[in-house]
Amino acid sequence: MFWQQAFAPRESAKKSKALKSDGGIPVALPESVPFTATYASDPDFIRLRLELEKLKLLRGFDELLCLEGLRGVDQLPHQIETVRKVLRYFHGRVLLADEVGLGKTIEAALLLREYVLRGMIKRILILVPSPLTGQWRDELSGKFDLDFDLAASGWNRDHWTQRQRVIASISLAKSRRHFDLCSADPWDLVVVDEAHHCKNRTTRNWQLVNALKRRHIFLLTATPVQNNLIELYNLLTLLEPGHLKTESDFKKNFVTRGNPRDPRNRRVLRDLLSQVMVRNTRSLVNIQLPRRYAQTFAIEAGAEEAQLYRHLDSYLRWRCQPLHAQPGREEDNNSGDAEQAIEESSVLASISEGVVQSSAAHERADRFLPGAGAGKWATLEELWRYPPDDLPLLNRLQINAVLMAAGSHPLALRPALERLGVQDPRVAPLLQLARDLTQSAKETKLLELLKKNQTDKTLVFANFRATLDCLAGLLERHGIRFVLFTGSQSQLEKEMAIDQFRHDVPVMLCSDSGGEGFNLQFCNTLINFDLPWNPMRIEQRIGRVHRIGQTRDVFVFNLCTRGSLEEKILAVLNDKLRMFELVVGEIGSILGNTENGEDFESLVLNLWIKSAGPAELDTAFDDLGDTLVQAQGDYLKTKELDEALFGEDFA
Amino acid sequence: MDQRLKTFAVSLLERNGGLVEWPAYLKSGFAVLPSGTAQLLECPENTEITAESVNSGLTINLASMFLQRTERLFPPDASAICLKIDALYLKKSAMDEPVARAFAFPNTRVKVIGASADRVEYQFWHFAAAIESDEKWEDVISLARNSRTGAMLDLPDPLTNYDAHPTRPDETTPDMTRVMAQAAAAAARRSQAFVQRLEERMDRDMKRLKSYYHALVDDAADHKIRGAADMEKLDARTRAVELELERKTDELRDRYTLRPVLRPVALVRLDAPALRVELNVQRRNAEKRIGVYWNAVTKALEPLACSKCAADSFTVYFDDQLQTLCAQCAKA
Repeated sequence: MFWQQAFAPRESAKKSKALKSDGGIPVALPESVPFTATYASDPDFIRLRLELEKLKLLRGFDELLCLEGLRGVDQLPHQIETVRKVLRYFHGRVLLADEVGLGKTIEAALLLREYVLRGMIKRILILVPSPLTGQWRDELSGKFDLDFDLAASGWNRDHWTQRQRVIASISLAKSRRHFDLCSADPWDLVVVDEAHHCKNRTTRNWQLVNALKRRHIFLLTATPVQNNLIELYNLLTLLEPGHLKTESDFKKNFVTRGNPRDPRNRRVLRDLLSQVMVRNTRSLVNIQLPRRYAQTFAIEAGAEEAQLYRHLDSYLRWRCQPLHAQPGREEDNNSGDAEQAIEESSVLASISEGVVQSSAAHERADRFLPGAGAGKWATLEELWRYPPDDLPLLNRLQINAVLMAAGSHPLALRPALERLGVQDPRVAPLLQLARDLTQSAKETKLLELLKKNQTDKTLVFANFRATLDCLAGLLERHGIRFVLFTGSQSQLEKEMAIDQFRHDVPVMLCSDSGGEGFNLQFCNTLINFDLPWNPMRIEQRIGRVHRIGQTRDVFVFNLCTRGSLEEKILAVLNDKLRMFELVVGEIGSILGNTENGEDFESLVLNLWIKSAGPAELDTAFDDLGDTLVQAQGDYLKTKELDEALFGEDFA
Repeated sequence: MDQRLKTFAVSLLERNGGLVEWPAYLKSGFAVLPSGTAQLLECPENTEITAESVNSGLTINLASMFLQRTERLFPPDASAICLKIDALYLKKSAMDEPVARAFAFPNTRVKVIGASADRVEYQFWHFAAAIESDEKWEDVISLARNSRTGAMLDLPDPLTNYDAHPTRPDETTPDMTRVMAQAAAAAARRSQAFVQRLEERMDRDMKRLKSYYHALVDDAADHKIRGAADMEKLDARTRAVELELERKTDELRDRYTLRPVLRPVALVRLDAPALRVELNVQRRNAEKRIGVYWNAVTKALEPLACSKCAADSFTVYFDDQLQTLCAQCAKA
């Protein structure tokens, strides 16, 4: 009867009462829309209109809308099957527990896109560990055409209410300030990445997810059980409270007394789990990628280049002294949220416009700079013994930009130094040296590698356009044929470049933003001329060639200058974690395991800022390495346990 | 299916000014589209059209966004047309016996007065019906009715089966109250199994939730209580669990809430000749004249519609005001 009542005229008294179906399901009253029609004179028009409505009905969940218009997503059969299964049988509440590297994130994004395209969801919240927020936003936007806002610490009630698609770090969402704000209004879908952080009911993580009002929820983790089966129980209670009854019932029925990791009544438990969990395994979906090998070359810089880096380091430390002198200030700088980024970019803009000037600095520079020449470094070092008095502090973005550029190539460093020079003329000698240096020691090694590997295709990555241009000149001078590939090229130019690389030239010079979405499996050698500080971006670079369809082993060569920050990062990632030999995706799980950890890039910058000099920095990197090795150890133990527990029963 | 979608796509693109070359035996073809159409379909003006999924060009299959985008080529409201049949054969013999054979009037005395040629507007409605809930149900509800009597009829498709021609639009708004009631009744019948399945699921989930939270309270009560502090703790825990249960049951109800949609998408108004049979209806002291129609297309008498539920019937009751009632409403 609810249909007739729902569409009876508005003034009908029955409508004032809460409407329900015969079986007691609440009925939401439809909006009353007056009938209007557009009259046609051609019966075919009406026929087409009706045919459209009938064709729409033929589209069940077998026909996925989400696959059209994806950019750079390898659509693997097990992912598509999982999407269909979740839509059809799980009604949008599922624990996606695929093994690492099989694409849980892609499955979740496909599901999310399908629901969005079908108009079934609007308000979406994605909770992820802090280090992965940016990656989620970039992937959803770049590959799935879904734009999300990143929640920031400064968000108020209005932000949480009005933003329809939000990615938040779980540590931000559970904070005292945001817990109530983000759980106040209902969400159509909540996605929790690395959901094993919600394994414990007494934690705010679990309580936050439990408090969120939502219609659909996806929990993503490759390791639902880390220490004992109660963790699995807690996760599934978030999905469907009561599905495994109470904790004491669960223990009684499914946990071996004395061994909380050992399940009993496996068959019954498996049946219950299969109603709420999907787990694809590598052997089940038959995906085995070839091995990858990495070699790092730490190259001794020439005297002038080494001097440039040493003095740059001193100069930057001098300009940011108060950053590590005032711990409170540093905390502010760690938040990394959007507001801070805006603030910082406006500082950068004001600097580049020459608004911030320091007359005292100019005066002192006038006194010292005329003596520049053979003894210029002694003079400058003397100068830097003075505090930077009325100069504004360098902010994190500025320091980051300069250090990254220095790690790439002296030519990439020039623009960053020029920007600093607007504000502080004492940068001039550094800038002059960067200008004088037209070659980096890494170039020689690059040439050597390319000449050795003339038969195979080689992909050379560099972060900065200036570096790429310099490398282009270098290869030209040495008669090595190459093609350039950057994010700023048009689609057609990119396609032509790939085609040329495939058929004609042995080398492709590529920026980080290039290459995504193109099949480059015909190439199996990659050289990182410089190195992003974020391991996920390194993984993305390697992923261009080490992906489904690659049949040969992949070789990765990393170039860095001895003593540079990049060398230290590589020492942690390569020597300690053996990152380049890990299965695709594992580095994300290890970083994600440091739940309250920062973005790896910020972490590196913090270590640099906090340390007073190279020796202290080495110690800090050692400590970081130990922490990550510990996280890796935990991850491997958990992985082993989960493999033993779940086997291949949940695909 | 592919062929049906292809035929639809080609007709639609051509109708919107496109030039389409897509031979039946090929998986893909080519189209040159006016810029406005290309913009609405989010494809280039000169575009490949194909049933295969591609990232450039226009993909036309059920798993593409093509159908969603084509909606933009239609006006957002219902599409309507007025058609007219100039002449049809009308029965000339006496109607007493046909009326007596077709109708039963259990609580009223009814007499045939006479019959005369008339014109009637027959309305052919098509509604997009849907229920959004934890799952989604969708259908197209089509119904044909006599706009005078409101009776629903089983008539052939007027767009293909009659010798009808388009005529000047009659833009008077039809009486929607009864139409909506009839469409809603049809949607209720069609969605019955879906709603029942949801009701069973909600019932199951609700029971599971309640039993889980009640068991939590029982678990807490099982602990030994030593003094007032323990008692207070237990009370606090019980209250907390009850609040949580309330919150979760609200969430569950919200998840299953039925959001019905009934949207007219097309209307064909057919002006056709019909034979009006005049009846005199007498019940107690009341007396009234009503008309029933002999349909010139089906060559049969049409039923009458119940004034309460709009159901059509040949067994017609009357209330004291001589309003028509179906058997069910008369009993009620």
